[in-house]
Amino acid sequence: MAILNLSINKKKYSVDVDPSTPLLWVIRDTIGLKGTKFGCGEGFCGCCTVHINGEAAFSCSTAVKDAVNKEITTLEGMQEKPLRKIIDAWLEQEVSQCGYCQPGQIMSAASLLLKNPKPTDDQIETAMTGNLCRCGTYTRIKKAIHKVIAEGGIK
Amino acid sequence: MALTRRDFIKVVSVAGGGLMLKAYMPNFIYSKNKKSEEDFTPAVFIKIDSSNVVTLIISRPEMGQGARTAVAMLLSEELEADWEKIKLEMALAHPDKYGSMTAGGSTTVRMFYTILRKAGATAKDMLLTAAGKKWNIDKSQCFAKNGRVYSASDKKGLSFGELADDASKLPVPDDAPLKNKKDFVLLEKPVHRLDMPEKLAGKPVFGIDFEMPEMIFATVVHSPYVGGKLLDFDSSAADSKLKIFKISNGIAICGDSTWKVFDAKNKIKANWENPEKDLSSDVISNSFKKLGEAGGTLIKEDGNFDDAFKNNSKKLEAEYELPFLAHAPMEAMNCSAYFQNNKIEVWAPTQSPQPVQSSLSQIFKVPIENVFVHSLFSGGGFGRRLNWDYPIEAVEISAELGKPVKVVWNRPDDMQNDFYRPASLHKLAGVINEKDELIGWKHHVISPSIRAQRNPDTDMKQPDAVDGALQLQYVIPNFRIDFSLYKSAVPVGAMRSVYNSQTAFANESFIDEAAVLAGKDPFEFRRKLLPEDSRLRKVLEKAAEISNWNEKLLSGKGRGIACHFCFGSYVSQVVQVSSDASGKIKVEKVFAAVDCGKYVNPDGLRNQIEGGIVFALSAAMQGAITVEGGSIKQKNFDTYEPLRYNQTPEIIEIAIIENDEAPGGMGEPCVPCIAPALCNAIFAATGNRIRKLPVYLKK
Repeated sequence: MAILNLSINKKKYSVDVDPSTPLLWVIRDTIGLKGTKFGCGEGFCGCCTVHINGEAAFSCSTAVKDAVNKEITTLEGMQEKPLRKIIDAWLEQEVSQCGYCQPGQIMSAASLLLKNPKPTDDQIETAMTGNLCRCGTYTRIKKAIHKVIAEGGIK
Repeated sequence: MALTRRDFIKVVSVAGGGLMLKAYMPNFIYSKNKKSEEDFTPAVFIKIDSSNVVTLIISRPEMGQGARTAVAMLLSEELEADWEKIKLEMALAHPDKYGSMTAGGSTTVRMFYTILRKAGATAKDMLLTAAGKKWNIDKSQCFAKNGRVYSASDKKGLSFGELADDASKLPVPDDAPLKNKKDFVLLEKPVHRLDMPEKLAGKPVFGIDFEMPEMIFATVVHSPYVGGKLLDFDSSAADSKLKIFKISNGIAICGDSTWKVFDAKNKIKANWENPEKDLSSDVISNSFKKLGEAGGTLIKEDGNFDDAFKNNSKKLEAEYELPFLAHAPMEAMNCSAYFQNNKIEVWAPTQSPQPVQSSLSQIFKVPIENVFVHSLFSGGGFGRRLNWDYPIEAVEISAELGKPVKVVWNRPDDMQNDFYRPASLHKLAGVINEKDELIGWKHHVISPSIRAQRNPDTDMKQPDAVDGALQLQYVIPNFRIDFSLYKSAVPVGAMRSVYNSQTAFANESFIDEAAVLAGKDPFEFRRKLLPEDSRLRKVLEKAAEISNWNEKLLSGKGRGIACHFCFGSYVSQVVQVSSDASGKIKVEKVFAAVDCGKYVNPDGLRNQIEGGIVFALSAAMQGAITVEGGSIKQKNFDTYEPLRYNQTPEIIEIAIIENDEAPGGMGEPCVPCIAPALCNAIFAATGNRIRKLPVYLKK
C-alpha cells in the first residue's frame, strides 16, 4: 500500500492503495466514480476508457502508479460544455441501447476530437475500433461523431 | 381470480391521497396458471399524487431494449400527462402482483400495449369528470393536455394533482375512449430514451455500480470444467486479510475492493473434478451426426414426405451445424445481497425478478414475502440474465459473512459459466417436382433442449428446440419435422431469438439451395411459396425492393436474402458481401424490411434492428464457444469477439411496414435472418455454400 496523489477531472485525490492496482478499480471502488465501466479486464473491450493527459487509455490495464501526476479525465469530467457536446450528440442521436459501453465509446471519441477536430472516416475507425458494443450501436456512434464534427468539435 | 372485462381497472386507495389505478390484463403466454379467458392478472399500477407527479410502476426490467420508455409512452399518450414529469418506479419482485415480470420473449410492448393505453385513458376520463364537476360542466367540455385539465373557457386549468383526490372517489368508467392514431403526440413518434441522460452522466444506476454501507466486495472461482465439483483448494498464497471459503458453486473470495478479490483468483490452487474430460466440440459434433443418422421422433407431418421423396427425381439434402454461443453482455454477471434476520434483500441486474425471488426463498428457506428483489439496470442481457445462478451466490456469501456483499465476476468467469445458445445440427431434405416447385420439406432438428435440461420430465413430443422449424411459412404440401434430443452436459439457455437463430439458418439456407436446384431466383422462389396475403411475403418483397435485388452486382460481390416469422413479427433481410482476391469476405451492406404490427417508438425499433443486425453478424461471422477436454475454451473478447466498429456494414435502409396489426416483438425477430442471408450472399459472390457456422472460426 502507498499514498498516491491523483488528479481526476481537475480534482485532487489522495488514495492509499497498492500501486499496482489497475486505475479502473481505484476510480470505481476507492474514489467512487462509477461512470468508468469494467468490461473485460484485459484491454479487449474499451469499456474502461479514460484520458490520461488527453490520450485515451484502458484504465483496466493501467497501474494506478503510472497515472500519478498526470491529468485523468473520466466520463464525469465530460459533463460541461464544450466537452459535453459529445454526450449531447449521443443523446440526440439516441446512440445507446443498454448504455454500458458508451462511457468508453465517448472517451475514445473525445480523445480523437480533442487532438483532431476534423478526422477522416479512417481516423475515426482507428480511434473507435478498440471499443466493443454488444448491443451493436456502431452505426449511430458514427453518426453522433459526425454530428459533433459538423457542429465545430469540442474545443 | 375471476374478473369480467367490465371491472379490469380498479381504484386503489393510497396513503396521502391522490388517484391510484390498478389495471388487470388477461393472462398471456408466460402465465403458468392460464385457465380461461376470464383469468386476469393485475399488471399495471399508476399513481397521480396531489403534488402532480404521475408515477408508473413498471414491472419489466430494463436491459437496453427501451422497455421503460415504451411503457411510459403508452400510458402518457392516453393520459395526456406531462412527459417531462412522468416518473417510473421499478417494482420489487412479487409472485403475482404484476403478472410475469420477465424481460424475455420480446413481450413487453406486446403485453402492455392495450392495457397501458386503457389505463391512461381511464385515468384521464376520471380527471375530466372531476374537473367537470368542479366547474359544473359536462366532462365533454373539458380536455387534458400536458398534465392539466382545461375547459374552453378556463385557460389556466387545473393540474392532475389538484384533481386526483376527487377523481379517486368517482366510479371507474369501462368505456373510456382511446385516442385516434392521427391525434398521437408520442406513439409512433421518435422519442428519446428516459434512462439515457443518467447513464451518460455516469450515475451509479447499473447493477455493478450498486454500493451500500459496510459492503464487502466478493468474487467467485468457478470450476474450469463443465459441471466440475470442487475437490479441495489451497489459498495460502493469497492475501491473508481476504476471507476465502467454499460455497456451493465454487470458492468465494471476499475483501475490501473488487481488484483485491480478482487478483487473488490467480493465487488459489484448486483441484476440481472433471466429469466430462473427454468432451470436445468434435465429440459433440459426432454425437449430433449419430443422432441424425439414427432418425428422430416425428413431431409434425402434413402430406407424406417420404412418398414425395421416393416418387420424384429432383431432390436435395443438406446438413447445417451451429456452435454454442455466449451471451457476453458488456456488464459481467454481478449481484449485491444482504441476508440478515431471516430476510433477504438483493440488488440484481436481472431479466427474471420472480424466479430470483422464488429460488432464493426456496434455497435459503426464507418466506417469499421476506425476499426483496430490486431489479437494477443491466448492461445488456440477451437472455443471460434470465438465470438466477449469480444471485444465489451473492446470498450464500452474505449469509456466511453476515454482511452486505457485492459479487462481481470477471470476464473469463462470465464467458465460461454461461447458459449457452445451444449448438445444433439440422438435416434437411427437399423435393422439387417437374414444374420446379418445392413440394417436399423435411427438417430434422438435432439439438439440446433448454427446457429438458432444466426439467428432465419435460414432454419431448412438443420440444422447444423445433421453434422456428415448425412455423415455416412456406406452403409445401409434404412437410415434416423430426426431432432428436442431444443431452448436453454444457449448460444451455435462451439467447436473443432462442431457437430461431438456428432453425432460420437451416430453413433459409436450404430454401436457397432448393432455388438453385430449381434454377430459380432465390427471391422469386420464396415469394411463390408464400400466400399472396402473407405478411411475410410483403416484407420479402419490400426487402427485395429496397435492396435493388434485380440490379446486377460486380463480379466478386453477392446478395443474399432471407425471411422469417417469430415473436409476432415478420422480417426479411438482405445482406450484400464482397470477396477479395484472397477470398476474404466483407459484409458491405444490410437491408431490412420489418412488419411488427403497431409499434410504439419508431426510433427504438430502428435501434433494435440495427443492433440486432450487428449482434447476429457477430455470431455468424466469428462467434463460437468451443469445448476441449471438458472445458470451455474461450475466456475473453480476444477469442470470442463481437464485431467491432471497423467491421460494421453500412445499414442502408430499414423499411417498416405500416399497418394496424397487433404489436409484435422486435428485440428478437431482427436476429434470425442475418446468418442465412449472409451465407446466401457468400454463395452468390463465390459459389461457396457455408453450412457450418461461424464463417470464420477463431483459433
